[in-house]
Amino acid sequence: MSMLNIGTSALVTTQASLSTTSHNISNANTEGFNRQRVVQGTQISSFSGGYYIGSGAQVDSVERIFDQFLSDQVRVFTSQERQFDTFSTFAQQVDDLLGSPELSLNSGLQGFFDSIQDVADDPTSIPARQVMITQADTLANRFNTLDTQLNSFNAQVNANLETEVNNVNVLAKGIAELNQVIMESTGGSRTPPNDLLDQRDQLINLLSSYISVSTNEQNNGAINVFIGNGQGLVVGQSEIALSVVVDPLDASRSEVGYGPSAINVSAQLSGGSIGGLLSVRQDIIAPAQAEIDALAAGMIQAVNEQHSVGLTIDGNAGGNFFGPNDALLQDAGSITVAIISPRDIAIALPVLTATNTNNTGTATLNIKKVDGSDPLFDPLNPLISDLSFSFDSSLIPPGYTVSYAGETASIDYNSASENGKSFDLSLLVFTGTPPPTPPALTITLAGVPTNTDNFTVGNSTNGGFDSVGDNRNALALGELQLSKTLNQVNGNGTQSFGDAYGILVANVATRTNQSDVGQQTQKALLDQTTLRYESISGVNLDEEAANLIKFQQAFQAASQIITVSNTVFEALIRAM
Amino acid sequence: MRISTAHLFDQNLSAMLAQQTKLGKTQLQVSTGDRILSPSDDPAGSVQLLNLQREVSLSEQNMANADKAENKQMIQEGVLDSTTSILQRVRELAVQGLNATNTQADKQGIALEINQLNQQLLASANTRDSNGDYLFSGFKSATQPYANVNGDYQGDEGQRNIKVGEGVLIATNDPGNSVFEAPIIATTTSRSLSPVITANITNSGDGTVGISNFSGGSAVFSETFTFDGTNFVDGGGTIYPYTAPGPSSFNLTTPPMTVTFSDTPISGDALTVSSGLGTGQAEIIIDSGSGETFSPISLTYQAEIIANPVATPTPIVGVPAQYQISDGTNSVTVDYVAGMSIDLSELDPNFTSLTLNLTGSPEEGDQIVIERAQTDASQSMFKTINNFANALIANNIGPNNSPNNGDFLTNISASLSSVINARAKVGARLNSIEQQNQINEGVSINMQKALSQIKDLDYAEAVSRLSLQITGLQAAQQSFAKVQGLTLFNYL
Repeated sequence: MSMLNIGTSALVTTQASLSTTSHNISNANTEGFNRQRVVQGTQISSFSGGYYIGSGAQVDSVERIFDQFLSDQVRVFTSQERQFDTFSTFAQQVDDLLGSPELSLNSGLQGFFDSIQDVADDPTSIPARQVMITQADTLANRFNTLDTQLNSFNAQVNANLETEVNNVNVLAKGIAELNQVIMESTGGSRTPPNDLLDQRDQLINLLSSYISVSTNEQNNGAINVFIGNGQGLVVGQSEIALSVVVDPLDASRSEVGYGPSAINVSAQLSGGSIGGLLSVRQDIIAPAQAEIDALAAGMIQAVNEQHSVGLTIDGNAGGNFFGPNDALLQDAGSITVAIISPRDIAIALPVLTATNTNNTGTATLNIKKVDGSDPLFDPLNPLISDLSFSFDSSLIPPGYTVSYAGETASIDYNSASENGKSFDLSLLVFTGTPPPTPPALTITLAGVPTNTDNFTVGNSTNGGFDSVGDNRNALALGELQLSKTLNQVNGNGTQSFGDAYGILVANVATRTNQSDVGQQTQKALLDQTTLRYESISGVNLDEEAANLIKFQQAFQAASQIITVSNTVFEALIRAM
Repeated sequence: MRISTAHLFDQNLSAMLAQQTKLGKTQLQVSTGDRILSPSDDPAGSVQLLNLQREVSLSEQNMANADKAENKQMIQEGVLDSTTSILQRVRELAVQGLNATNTQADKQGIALEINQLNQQLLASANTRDSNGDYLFSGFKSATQPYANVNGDYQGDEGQRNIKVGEGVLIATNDPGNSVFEAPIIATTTSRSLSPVITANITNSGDGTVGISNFSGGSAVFSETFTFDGTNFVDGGGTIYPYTAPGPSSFNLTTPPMTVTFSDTPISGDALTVSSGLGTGQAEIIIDSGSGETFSPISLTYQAEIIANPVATPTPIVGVPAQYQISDGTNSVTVDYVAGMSIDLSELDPNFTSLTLNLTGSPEEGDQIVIERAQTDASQSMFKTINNFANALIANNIGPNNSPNNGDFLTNISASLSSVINARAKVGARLNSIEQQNQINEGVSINMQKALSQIKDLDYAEAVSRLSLQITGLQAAQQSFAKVQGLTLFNYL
């Protein structure tokens, strides 16, 4: 083998190295580029006269420096980081919405209940009543606004889902096409099509930012991409499209459909921005909507029940304070104030107590609660006759004889041990067949009665309503602020309105906080993995500069081989 | 480890961006003064914040309510204060008016002033608050509690409560009937006359009539039964069939009694049953006596027994006319002289202190009962005062014309103590409000403090964090610029 040939082989290989180094330098900033290097080998030595003489260098292949494991890791962490990121972006919006003082239900509730107190302080003051209506309007508006905002978040989730699904489809198509090209160009070639592989890996990386994927490389060079529980997105050179479908049970929810028949696969998808969108809707937006709706419905019912017990300043039945009337339609979006005129706020109770002026004891009888939960309850005539209580010390044990509609019953009362005793009259069993339905009243007995002391409880409308200064129902309405009416367990409420809102804010805040922390963790993991990946596959310009010098020197040396071979050749000629 | 040049660049850049984000947040914290910018910054803290804000608002509302409650008590206190002094003045005038040395003109002048004061009292009871609501008409705040001095209470017994603390309700009004009404003492005297039977002097038969089951009391009556041969006929033409010699009994209704005819009347005979009117009535004047109640005292008249006409052989010395006085447990007898004045407690110390003036010519068995008791129903002070003033004008202060002197002073005292009771209640409520306000303020201050600890930024910490972050960012920027300048290509 001639020296010239050997020099030429060195020039060719060195040139390949110089080209590859240049390629690396020029692609230093190309996304998804993996640095390449020339794998150089010796040419087959020639055997002459019992020994081998080297015959120069050759390019075995140009390979990319690539670690499949780290590449997979980067994809996994990308998917997770993007999911947390998307989740936390939306969660933060809900969090800000619930926490903003301008929109917070907390101050809306407080304003409303403060205005009830003001009405209780001055029951006949029309301005105070007007303020109560205005505050109720403000509260209803806050519910409406929260509902609108949460709905718009939901709509945004749907719109983003549509965009992301389109992006996934575009990427899947690109991967399928690259599979095709790579299958064609790998056939019989010694050297892999590095840049095509980089492109395909880059597309798969991008895909993993939308949705979590798993891959499977085939012998023919193609990569199959799977999503969810193994649904193939790219198989060989063909892709299966995703679509957005509307949830048949809830038209406001968009779901991800798979394949031509658009099977709903939302439940199986995770990771990436699509996973983030689906989970933020599942964990934040939908529960927040449900909570706000439950709070609105609970408040409408509790306030309406108490309000309709009462009588207006003109002696009419109170009716509903908040609309709508249909219990099935009551939610945060639909809540309105049903009362228009301040005179129609019902803060008087429908029954009045009269103490006989001849009583000689110190006993008192007060109305503690009027139960309006029976839909047939009529505040204009809650009692079918006067209800009279007469203390009878000859009873064993002593107590009050209660007369109602011509029939009687009795209540034990021991002033020494039961002062302030509350008694639910609906538990009374009257004489008579059939006995009259007992009144839906709870009374409080206090003081020391003497025998035959008596009280009469009658309808406030008896002889025309004129107890316009009665504020007892306003106090009862005010009590609703702190009473546990919501989230019933065994028929007993466990949360007040404020509690329920606080719990909602806490849930959203905690999840938002968790997703922020999760996002940061995943980001750190992604950064570390990317650093590791880049430390293997990334281009270091200093290294390339050094290589440039190295290969330049090698090129110069190879050129000298040619020169020397020429000199040797000329010397040989001259010797002839 | 190898470093990828492009990645190094990216890493530096994203590190700088992260620094900027933190700096931005700190800057926002410093400029708003809030530690928590959105609930997720501190989920537990922000829920605590919501609860604390609610507590603070509640205690603020409670304090506002307490202020209103206090104002309402003050208004009521003012009214009750003037009511007290007016009542005291009325009492002074009454004492003056009862003085026997007053001329009738003096009494009328005093009555006039009492009447004017009474109008002021009435106006106090009908006071309205700034909303135009009557203070003293219970829940019926649009109804005037007393239409005039003789009017009954028009309100009801409703008491409005205001919430001044959790579970603490303070009443802001007292129904007028618990302030301006008091049970009153009334002295009454009642006469019960013993019926008299007289036969017409022209009667020719020996028919008689007897009376039993008489319960006519003090009613004055006279009924004459004339016999027409078969029936007795009374003045009204009612027929009582009679067959001699009887007896035949009939029940009369006015007054309730049973008359029994007997023996043999002749047609034209007339028998009269009467209350003895005209033959003399017992009169009694209660001269003085404190306004204490006592059990009924009865004075029963026994006519003088001059002699026993049937008695033989020696005429019995006559027993003088007497009153037997009894209060149910004690009994005493006094000889009767028309116009006499007796002091019961002098006769027997067990009797109540009462000076009586006895006049008239009573019949045997006539009875006078003196009662002084609390009436069952309370009466408004306006009515009590008005009655007194009217009696004063009519110069009618006496036992049979209630109110008499002692009763009125007692009654006005009862009214006064009712008003003072109401004032005491108002005072007690003002105390409760004061105490509750202290509690509310204490709670509010503690809550505000807790709120501030959670919500407010620690400026010292935040500002030092801010400068640290600025330094960090500057260092990142400078080192970035320096590091980026380092490349081997510079030496090629």
